[in-house]
Amino acid sequence: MTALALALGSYRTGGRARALAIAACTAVVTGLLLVAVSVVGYTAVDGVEQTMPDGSTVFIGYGGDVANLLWDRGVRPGYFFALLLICLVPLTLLQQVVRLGTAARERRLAALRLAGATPGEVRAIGAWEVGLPALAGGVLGLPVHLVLRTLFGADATLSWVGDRDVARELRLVPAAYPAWWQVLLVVLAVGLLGVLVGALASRKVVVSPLGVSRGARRTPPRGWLPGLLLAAGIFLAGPVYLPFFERGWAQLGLMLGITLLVLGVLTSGPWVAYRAGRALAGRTSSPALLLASRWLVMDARAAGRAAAAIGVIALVSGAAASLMADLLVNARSNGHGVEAMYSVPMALVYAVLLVALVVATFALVVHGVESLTDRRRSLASLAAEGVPLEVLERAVRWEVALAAVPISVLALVGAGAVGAVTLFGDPVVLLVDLALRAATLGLIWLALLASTRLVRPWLRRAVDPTNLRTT
Amino acid sequence: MNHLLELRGLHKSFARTEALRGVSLDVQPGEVVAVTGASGSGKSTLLHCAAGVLVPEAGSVTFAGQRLHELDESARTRLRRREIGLVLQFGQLVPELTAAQNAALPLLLDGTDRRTARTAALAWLERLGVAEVADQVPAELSGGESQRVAVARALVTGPRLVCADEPTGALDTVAGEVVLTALLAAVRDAHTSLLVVTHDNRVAARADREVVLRDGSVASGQPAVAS
Ligand SMILES: Nc1ncnc2c1ncn2[C@@H]1O[C@H](COP(=O)(O)OP(=O)(O)OP(=O)(O)O)[C@@H](O)[C@H]1O
Ligand SMILES: [Mg+2]
Repeated sequence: MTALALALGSYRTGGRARALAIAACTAVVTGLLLVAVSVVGYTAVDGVEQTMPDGSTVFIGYGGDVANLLWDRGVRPGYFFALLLICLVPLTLLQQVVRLGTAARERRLAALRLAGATPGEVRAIGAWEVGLPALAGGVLGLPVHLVLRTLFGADATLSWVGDRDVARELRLVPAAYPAWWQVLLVVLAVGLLGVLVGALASRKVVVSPLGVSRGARRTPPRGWLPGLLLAAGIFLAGPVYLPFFERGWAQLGLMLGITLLVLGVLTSGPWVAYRAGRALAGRTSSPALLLASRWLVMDARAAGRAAAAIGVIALVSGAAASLMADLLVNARSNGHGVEAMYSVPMALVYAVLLVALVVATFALVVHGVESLTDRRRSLASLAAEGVPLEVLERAVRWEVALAAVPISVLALVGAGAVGAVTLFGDPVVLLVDLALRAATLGLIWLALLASTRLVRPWLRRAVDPTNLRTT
Repeated sequence: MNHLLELRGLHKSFARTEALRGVSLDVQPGEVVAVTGASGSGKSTLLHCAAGVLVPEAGSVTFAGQRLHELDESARTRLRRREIGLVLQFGQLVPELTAAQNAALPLLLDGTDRRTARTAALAWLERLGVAEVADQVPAELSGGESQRVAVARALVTGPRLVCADEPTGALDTVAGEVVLTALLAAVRDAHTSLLVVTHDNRVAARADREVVLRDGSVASGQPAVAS
């Protein structure tokens, strides 16, 4: 009970921004999960099998006044899966915002230990500090779901007359509410997730009454786990899925494969960042690049994790470019345009990617702010020794660029290799495909620039000479 | 053999430095012991071992018959919050809590109900002359005031021992004098033992006994113990 009360106490000051950001992220996650649950509960019949007089069966499809993603029994599981993937966007931001105010929080926890809180109690406080706002966010997810339903709501079984138009393809959210116990389950699960994230956030931190020592993170990130995940993902999405793509089990395999690919990219972030830092640290003579690469060699994990979100965006964008190329090849060969049934989901994918990039930019900003606060002492002493601010600013930019660009290029190229087969026949489509990939990289670069521009005030604060005296 | 605190042959080293090399020290109930010595001689390390915050690599720390160094972190913490008050150089109050809440914290952590804890905390703040800042947060307090709040927090559970590491080190002479007088009066009154690390000769002069450390060993002050 005391842990709970003390966790509540932390929201009075510095903890407030963190709590609000946690609640916002988890509210969006909850809203998306509720949509996903209602998609599972959507059981309108999209057609029947009929036996013909000659014994063969044909499928008689009914029309429905909802998006094909929802209406088509065969596509619905994929749509559900996509909704779960979209949850990764607010979740990657959540991973960064729990780091907000780390220095102040650690000081508070050390003071609590001094006053007689046991290590277990301090861990409980850390867990509640994330768990409570996450639970609040879970409850706030209900209005988020309502908003999504108002914007994209679809009645259950209106029979369809008329064209497959854009408006219909946007009716993506079932009108029916999930059952009360499903809502309760989702809200509690999100709250529990918060508790877990809060407990894990302080896992490596030893809070003694005399202060905080971070667990020595001397071991560099290793590459075998992401490598294994990526290999398994490619295997499931390629050699297993492609020959059997009409079977139900193959589709499940594909989803598992995509999940593994995404996890592989997410976990390889720190490793790629570390390798990039290693590769440059011994070779560069630019002070900014040297600083940035040394930061990554010393601790690539934080930057790597923030950059991994960008890598996933590149991966999805690369896959989307391949799909676009495929659609274009078909459209050009049969002379019709791309149908709304396909173009609307594609447009939605790109819209989600753009939002995800903005969110990832903020994740990078949070990372920048936290790592600048962490390094304020060494930054202040560098500035005091006469290193110009521009060099430090370039170092900050290089750190995220070294972490984010290699993984993004790899993801874009990797995702392109799958679709490359369809491109060779058609130079126009090949050009479109390359343009989409290049545009993705350009936008990612812009996001990196924006994030370092946004942390500039914190850099100025970090080089303040008074930081030379703080511990 | 009825020492309150019994330190025997303490060894403690950090990375490359050997901070304590076989220190032995006893503190009697109600005794005020000042620990002095040059910077880096191991005073803080000794105090942290005595309070059960650090565990020595060799030697024993016996407090009221309990072998502190054999307890695990949680058990030591629970014992410490009831029986041993700790005051460090900069107060180290929880920045989000008011002075009264900070002083009441050890009681709250021990399961005392909020109202009783607050009453006890306010009584101590009153005695130490900082009752009027009870509802302010540490950022709004002067150094001397936060140090007195830290003393209140150390005394609120009625501990048998208070360990203080340069409690006046960060204060000017006048403020230091106020804090010191308040601390000494409080421990003398409650018959609490005090182990205080200090650079200040006037503190040492007001103690029952002065122990001088040099390079991690006791140079003088500990009467030879018949073992
Ligand atoms: N956490 C630590 N890590 C590494 N070395 C330490 C640590 N704590 C203390 N030391 C070293 O142990 C030795 C004794 O330190 P200690 O803090 O006990 O000295 P002190 O007598 O309190 O000095 P001061 O009067 O300056 O506070 C010093 O050489 C110090 O550098
Ligand atoms: Mg000291």
